[in-house]
Amino acid sequence: MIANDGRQRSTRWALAAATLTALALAAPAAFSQSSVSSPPPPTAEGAPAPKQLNPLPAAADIHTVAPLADGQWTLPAGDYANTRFSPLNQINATNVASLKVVSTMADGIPHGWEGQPLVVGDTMYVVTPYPDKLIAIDLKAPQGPVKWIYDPRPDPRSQGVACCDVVNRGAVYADGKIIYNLLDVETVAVDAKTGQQVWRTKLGSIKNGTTITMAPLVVNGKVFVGNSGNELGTRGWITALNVSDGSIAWRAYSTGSDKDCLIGPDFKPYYAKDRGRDLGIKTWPPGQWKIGGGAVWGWISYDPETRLIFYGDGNPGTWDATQRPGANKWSNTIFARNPDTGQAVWAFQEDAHDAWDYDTTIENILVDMPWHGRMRKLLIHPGRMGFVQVFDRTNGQLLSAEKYVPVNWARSYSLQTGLPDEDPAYRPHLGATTSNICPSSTGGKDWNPTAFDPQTGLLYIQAHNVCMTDTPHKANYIEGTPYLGADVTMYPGPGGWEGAFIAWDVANARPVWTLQETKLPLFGGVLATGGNLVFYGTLDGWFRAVDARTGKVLWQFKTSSGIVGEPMTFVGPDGKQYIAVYSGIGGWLPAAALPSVSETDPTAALGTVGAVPDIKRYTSPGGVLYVFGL
Amino acid sequence: MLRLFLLAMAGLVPLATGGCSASDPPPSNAAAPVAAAETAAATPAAQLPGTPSQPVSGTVPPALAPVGPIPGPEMAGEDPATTIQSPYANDPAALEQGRQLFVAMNCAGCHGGHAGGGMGPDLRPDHIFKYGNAPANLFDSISMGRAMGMPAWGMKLPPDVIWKLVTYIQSLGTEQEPDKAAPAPAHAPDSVASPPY
Repeated sequence: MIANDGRQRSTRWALAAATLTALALAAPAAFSQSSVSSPPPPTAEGAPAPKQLNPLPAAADIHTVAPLADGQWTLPAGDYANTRFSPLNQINATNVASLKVVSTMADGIPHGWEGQPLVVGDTMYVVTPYPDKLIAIDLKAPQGPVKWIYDPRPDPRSQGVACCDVVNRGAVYADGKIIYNLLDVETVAVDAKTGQQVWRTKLGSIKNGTTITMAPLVVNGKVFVGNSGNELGTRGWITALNVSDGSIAWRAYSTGSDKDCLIGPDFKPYYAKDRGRDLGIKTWPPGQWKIGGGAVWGWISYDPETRLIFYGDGNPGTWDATQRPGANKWSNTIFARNPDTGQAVWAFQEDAHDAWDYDTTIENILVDMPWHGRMRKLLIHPGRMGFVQVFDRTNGQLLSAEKYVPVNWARSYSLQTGLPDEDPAYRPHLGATTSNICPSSTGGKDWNPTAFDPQTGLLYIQAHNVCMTDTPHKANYIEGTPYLGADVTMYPGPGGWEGAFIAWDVANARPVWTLQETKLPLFGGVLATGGNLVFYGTLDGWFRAVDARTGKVLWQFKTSSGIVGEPMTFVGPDGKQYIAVYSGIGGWLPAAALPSVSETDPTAALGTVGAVPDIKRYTSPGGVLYVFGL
Repeated sequence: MLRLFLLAMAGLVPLATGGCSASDPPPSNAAAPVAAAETAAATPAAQLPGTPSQPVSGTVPPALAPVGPIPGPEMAGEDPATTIQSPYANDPAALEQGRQLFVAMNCAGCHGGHAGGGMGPDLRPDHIFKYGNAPANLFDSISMGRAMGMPAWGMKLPPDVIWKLVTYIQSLGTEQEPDKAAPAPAHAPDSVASPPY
């Protein structure tokens, strides 16, 4: 699709031509004045206008960990630090108005297409939702023909135990292999050139409600994989497999004994609340930890300097907290671990005895930047609980926690104790109905990852404003079925708006501007680039490019379905920059768009239907890969 | 012939077993091994009449009653599978129990709090049922399971319980539907939480 076909112009010429075209289209009156200084491009027609809230932060000396350099995209988030920032700048604020589709490909699957493609050399690799096919696309040939398809044929019954649509968040490249997970609890490695399976490892069983949806990460010859299934009474874990042969190197559980959790002499949590022996057993009713959740279904980060991996795990089961008195460790916890041994170095439990399904599996972004006057190694966690938290990633100290959406379950976090100051009025209890809890279980945002731009110091958050009514009831453990104990209905939060694209000033812990969505929440990922641009998609299918500093929507394109995928960028074999994103509605919060979910039951899809009752008017499922270029 | 035999069994078995629960041994919480053993929590399933009284997994299924449809050419005339009625049709007590079972047996977790779907498909009347929504079709889907992940409950639940679930599913969207979902409010009041901006 991105052919070097002999008609290729030099990059410089192409850039200049595109710039001129953009100027001509954007501001004919200004065109004659100068072709050097660009007039401000207009807001794309029909797009929301930014609401300016605070000034931009002062320029600062910001470093990300192991930034992207070579125009490829070999890791799920692009880089180890999970910034989703690419320094590529051929496509930039001056020429993005002429961005257009250069290729598309349908996946033929009416389910949520989460995740992002990889680009390694001259090949793009995409992983589909269940049945989890891996498709290699030739970037050298016109229209991007398929090189090969690897079809792993996972157990179809796995579809019946996947809580939130049969999604897959993508692959990782290492050592000549594309490595990814299958819904039926397997990890596979496929030869990146031939499409032949190199190894395939079974990591668990769907029998007890376990699945895998997350994108793995590879560090130093080991691939890290975590499970899903907190809604089915699974027991959470992260496992390291050897990239060479798929053998298991270590596994750390999220519940159980210190031995099972790989908590040993290296473990030094910053706060007293996270200290003690065998807390993964003692903070539960007898034996409940065996079905206590804490699945590791989100993103993993890695810092080569401190040699630590970072990840959060999921909610405790059941959703009803009354049935599991105790802190329920190590559910909803951020862990720092040694990637070679799996040994925990620090941990921070976000909320003891969670009652809201506020998974902590959200991405952790690793940045070195000045913090109150001195350089610090930060970990930024824009959590489901509605706070952007900043930690010192060397020791787990909480440095800041500020709300980015309407939040009432807690008033604030104490930086001294690491504990949230909860409002008991919004903690649900068995036998009662609690209304207007904000945010809902889906959080201020869910797994859909943010991007951090080191040039602006801004974190770009796809937030939603959804609250809920929760009526807990007694849960009954039946292996392989939902273990919930809650009747939940979600609905838009205060103000009635559904979503906001927020530019968040990390240094000053406040928003700079927002782009508000009135009719649907936001539930896809973000890409920031060196072209002073930020890309994101909406649930009604708009794919937008926004000025990274001002929030002005410079370009938008209506894709065929709602976007829950993550945009990425790369340089093709022709030397030109491209942007790719999946369009294909599905997943949890947008589930009411699927034909198997009724808009007449606000409690359907674990309560999300009430938040998007009319989503079928705006979009319908069917995945398509879009590639855009100038 | 086989088909007629099976259909005849379907009519008989539920009636023959439906009244047995009163004389069954006390519930053993078989369906909730961990919750029962580890937390001494009484399970809602155990408190309901007609719920499993013995661990039945691996033993002869109590629901020896596949009532169709059986693959093959369409039969002339009316398909008997569509004429079989739940023995609990129009029984308000069974309808209420069906609703409670729908929650207690975790049907709600998959199919939605009020059967609007989620992990499993929507069961409300606006949905097209892949395997049919005649009472006998619903019985079979629950009893035998389906390939996309529906478990085979015939190994765990006696036929009278399955018929009560069928009765509840058939009531969805009608005036008889018990414990209807409360509508979601348009949005939360502005007073409950302030936006941070």
